[in-house]
Amino acid sequence: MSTIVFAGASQLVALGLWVTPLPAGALILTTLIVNLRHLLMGASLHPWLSRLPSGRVYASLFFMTDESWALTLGALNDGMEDGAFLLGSGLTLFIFWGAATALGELASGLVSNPAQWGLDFAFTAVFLALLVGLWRGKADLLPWIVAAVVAIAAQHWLPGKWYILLGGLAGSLIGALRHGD
Amino acid sequence: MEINLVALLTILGMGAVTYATRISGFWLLGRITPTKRVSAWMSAIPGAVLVSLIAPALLAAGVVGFIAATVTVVIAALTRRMLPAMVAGVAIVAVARLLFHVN
Repeated sequence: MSTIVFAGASQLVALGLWVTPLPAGALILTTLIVNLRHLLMGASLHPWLSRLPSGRVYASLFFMTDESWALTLGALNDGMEDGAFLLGSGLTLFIFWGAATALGELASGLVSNPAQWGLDFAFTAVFLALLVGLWRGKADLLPWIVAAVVAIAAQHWLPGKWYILLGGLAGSLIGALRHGD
Repeated sequence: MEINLVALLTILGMGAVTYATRISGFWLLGRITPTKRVSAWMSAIPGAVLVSLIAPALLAAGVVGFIAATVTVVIAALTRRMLPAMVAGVAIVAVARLLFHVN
């Protein structure tokens, strides 16, 4: 599942639904909903990816995750022209994701709490650093506050990863209203 | 996890819909010519999505998370580099948990 689906959150949700007999329809639909946020991410990379041959783009997009999307965005924002970064960062995650899943199955129980080492904060810190690079000025403040409020509310009231899609939509629409004027 | 035909097909189905979400956003923008307002919307998406990824995690991380986040942002703003900012943030969280047994 880690190599074919390659989307952590939806895999974890799927394991929760994994009973006998297998609810195949529910599993596939849930996976679709959990991963709808990729729509926004793929769209946001269009200006850069559209310069690449489409075959390569569609291969690269298989490996797009929250993390590799964010890293790619940061690199492109820093002036790097090469959209192939998405494939590189995604592939790296893919290899570790697959290897770690296999390793985890062999060694489950051996590794104690990774939170003890603050590792659960690593991606929050990376995302924060990327966000600093995206700051364009005071006009960003309101959209970002709206995104944060909506995301926190959605994460509290709704299951799964809805909060990323809803927060992203709400914040970016506010941003569109302001920047479009 | 027992592997049988239904399980395999289900996983393939999950993979197919996930891939569809990954390519659709890009594909759609290749079919339409964005207006000025749509372009403004697109350019606002990355920040909004990143904020949405961060906000709930930060809220859950409490006071330690807030301090670590502040240091991370300051270092990122000063150095414009990701690695030192991340290492500092993680280190603060780790040390705080080690010393004070807090979250």
